[in-house]
Amino acid sequence: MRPPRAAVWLLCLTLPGDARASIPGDLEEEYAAIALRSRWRAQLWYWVQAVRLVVRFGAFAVWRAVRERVSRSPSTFRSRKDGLMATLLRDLRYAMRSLRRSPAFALTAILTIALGIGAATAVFSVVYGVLLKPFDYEDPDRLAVVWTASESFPQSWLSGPEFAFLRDNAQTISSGAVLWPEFYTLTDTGPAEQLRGGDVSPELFELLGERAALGRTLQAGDDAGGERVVVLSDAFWRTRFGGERAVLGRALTLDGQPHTVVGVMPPDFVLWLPEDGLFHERPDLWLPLRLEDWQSRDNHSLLGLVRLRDGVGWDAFTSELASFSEAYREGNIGAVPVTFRFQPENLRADVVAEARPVLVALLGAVGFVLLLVCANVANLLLARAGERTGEVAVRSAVGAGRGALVRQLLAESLAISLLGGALGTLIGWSALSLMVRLAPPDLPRLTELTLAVPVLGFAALVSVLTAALFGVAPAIHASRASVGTLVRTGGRGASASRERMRHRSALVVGQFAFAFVLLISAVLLIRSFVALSRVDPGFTPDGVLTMQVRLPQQAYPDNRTRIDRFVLPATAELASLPGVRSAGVVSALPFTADFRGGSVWTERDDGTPIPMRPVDIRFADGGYFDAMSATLVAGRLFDSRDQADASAGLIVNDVFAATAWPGQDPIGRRVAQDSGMAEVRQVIGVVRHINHYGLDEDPRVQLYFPAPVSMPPLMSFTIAFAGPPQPVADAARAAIQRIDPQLAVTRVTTMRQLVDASLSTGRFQTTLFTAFGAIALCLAAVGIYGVIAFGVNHRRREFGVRLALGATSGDVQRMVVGSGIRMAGLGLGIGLIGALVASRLLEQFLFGIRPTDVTVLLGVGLALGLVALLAAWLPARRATRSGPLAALRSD
Amino acid sequence: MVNHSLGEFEQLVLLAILHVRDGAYAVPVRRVIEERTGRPVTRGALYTALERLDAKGLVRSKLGESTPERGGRPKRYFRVTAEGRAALRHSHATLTNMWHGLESELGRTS
Repeated sequence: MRPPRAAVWLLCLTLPGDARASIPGDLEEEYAAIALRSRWRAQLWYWVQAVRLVVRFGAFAVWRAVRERVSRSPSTFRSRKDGLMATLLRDLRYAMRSLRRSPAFALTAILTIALGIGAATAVFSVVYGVLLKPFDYEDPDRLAVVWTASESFPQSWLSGPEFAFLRDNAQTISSGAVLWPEFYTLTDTGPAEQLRGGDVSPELFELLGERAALGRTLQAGDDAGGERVVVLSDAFWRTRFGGERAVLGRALTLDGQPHTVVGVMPPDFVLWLPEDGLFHERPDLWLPLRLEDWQSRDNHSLLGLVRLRDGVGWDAFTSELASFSEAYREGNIGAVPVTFRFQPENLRADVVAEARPVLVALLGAVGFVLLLVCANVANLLLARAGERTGEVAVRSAVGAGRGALVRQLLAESLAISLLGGALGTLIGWSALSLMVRLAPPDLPRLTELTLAVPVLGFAALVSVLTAALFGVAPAIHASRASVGTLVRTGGRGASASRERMRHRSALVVGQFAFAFVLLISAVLLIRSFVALSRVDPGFTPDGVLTMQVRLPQQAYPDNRTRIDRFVLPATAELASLPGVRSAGVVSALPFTADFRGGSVWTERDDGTPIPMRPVDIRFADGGYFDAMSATLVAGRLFDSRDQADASAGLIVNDVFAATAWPGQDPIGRRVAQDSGMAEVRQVIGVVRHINHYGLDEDPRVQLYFPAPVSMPPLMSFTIAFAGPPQPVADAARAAIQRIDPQLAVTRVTTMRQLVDASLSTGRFQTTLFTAFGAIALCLAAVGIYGVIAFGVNHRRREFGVRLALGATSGDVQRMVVGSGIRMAGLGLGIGLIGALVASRLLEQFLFGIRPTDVTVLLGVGLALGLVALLAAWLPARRATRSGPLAALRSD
Repeated sequence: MVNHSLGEFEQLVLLAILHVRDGAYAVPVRRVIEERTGRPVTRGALYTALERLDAKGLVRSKLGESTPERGGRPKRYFRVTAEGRAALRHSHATLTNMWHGLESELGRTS
């Protein structure tokens, strides 16, 4: 448990001498004590202390410097007896003084840099922490996930035989393990509690290179059928057993079976696995998986993890898997589809696969912001260099060497970058914690994010380089010109200044182009988010409470027991609660990771069976459709007629009906779960498609079996209620425990919350893009205002002459504003090309709007044009407000 | 001898160092002040006061051993110099003189 590295680094940078070592040591000592209670709080505490100390020592250094200055006369030029450090400090001090004299410039420059560094650092930190940082496992890049793929099921987990085949034959892997996410009901003490975890191959921990913190991990042989053992996670051990070491050897009753605790994993152990919501939350415990229980070739429920043998490259591994795919197909002809193959993925790439596109898009956006920032700083410094040509000339006239002058200007740029960088670090840090709070909960690796120091350094370097380049280059240029000319013209009218104006105008054009691209992206995402939020998911999410129950195998061994002893009494009990309109049950709730898919068969008019796959298979009762306010398209819902196995019908969705029997009446058609059409049921009703994975999903083929006839052990209740949800939730939980006090009720939430959670990725991305767009707009406005205002100041005399010769103030204003509009227009033109490219890249995130939406392009262009108009008009008005005489006298 | 007049906080820091005796570094010094005065002491104030006292020659410091719980960073031990002790005595005497004759009005302090 180390304190935040960025904070330590900040401290070491600012503290003087001995303090650099001893003070961070003191802090770390106290940090360790706080971190024992809460790691999060300790991190925060360390940061607060570090910042306070930096401020305090900064003030202390200034106080000392001031005292020194009183005793020694200040000089801006380096005298020979001073050391390099002393000179640098003096230059910095002088730079601070000169920055204080132009606070508007200093503040704008510092804030701009801080914004750029802060935004870039925060986004880069997330990208690094989520996408790039290797896992903490031993040699993590040799870990791979193996999927299977075939035409009908493009991505499935493994079946037991497939895994055994791989493990026993593959030469390129050193070991393999499979996992099955599982819930267990703990019934030792107090009310029943549902625990989450997994049955895992006992070799899993050795495969990852992970050791137990206490006792041992699971190990080969634990699945041999002897004593049942279990390994606990650190969090579960602490909350449930108070971190007691005596937990080893203790018996836990899980699903009615005694298990012995043999080990506890360390607190930083996380099992990172792809895709499944069940795995992302930290599990409570792990049990050994017995591969003998998984002999079905069709049950693809095991997640397979393998480690590549040392010295084996990824190519060798994939080509061996390809040849294995063939061998496996040939060994199982008829039972395995001809398109079957094993498909490997790098573990880390697979875990972050879903997060990657969103983060890459954000990275692009923040890159643009950084470019805008650099343009703005360059612009400001060029303007400042122009203002100071006279000063530079005078200084070199009284004997300052070129080196001294350049050093001076460099010091000023450096001071700006350092202050901006310090502020940027703070902004980056708070932006990062804001992003973490805003981030969608299914973004993996969120909890381990820290400010990435290398990234901070990179952003700081970029801004320092920008500042140095644009702060010093013009100065060198100016000091080369003849002193006489410069002094005579007072730094105005020289050709160097016209060239500078050209550079500055080019920068403004660039800024508008970047801002246009960012704003277009932001507006497209906002429009798409709004469109997504308005999608009708096929049910009404408001006023529906849900809760999940899992029936343990021990107490409910078969389908009939589950239905008679639990499903029927529970739904009846829930429906009769006060405030409840209707209640139902379903095997897989929409907007959760619950899922069951498979194949069914139906038949043509001539009786030939046609396979339907993949089909989302659900088990539900009539109350489910009622509570969810699903739309009945044809026929009827389940009712008392569907209680008996023999006569019960089934319900399909409109997509199923349109696919299987296009243009025909679906009611009365026969559907079976086998190709022989042995166990057939008749379609009694058609409901509209209900979104399952999200608001943006394409219509899926869905089928509902009657819950009163068959129901798997894991189910969710849907309860339509009126009034506040909490009392209903409490009453419902009590009702279920009245039926069976041994049952644990989990995932109590409303459908509205589940739907909202599914929008969180979009919300995250849209919010950040909007923030970047707003920053871009501000920077572009500041840029154009600065250039026009400077130009106006410069041409005061010219305007005076024009006014005196009869031009109206309107003419002059039009001229000034016109030049601003030209710059903005050119920028928008260039930006349009960029925006078209960028929106094409954004297309995968867009929903319900085309990337080339004309109203968005026109609207954003118009808005930016208006901003340019306003930013140009303000200085233009000032130019003409004082009459011609004042303007002419202005020297 | 230069006669340093000490600020109140400087006196607290010097006295705390003397209380801790051997092994006085910032963490226990701060704890002693907080315990005995009952008021919170910010680290920044303590560190800058120590720097100031060091600059005035009232304390001397040396870097000591480093331990793993400190991330391998050394402790900086402080001791009060003869000058520091003299300054403390001087401050105490000044205060006592000022108190003299006011005991009945302000009451005994301890």
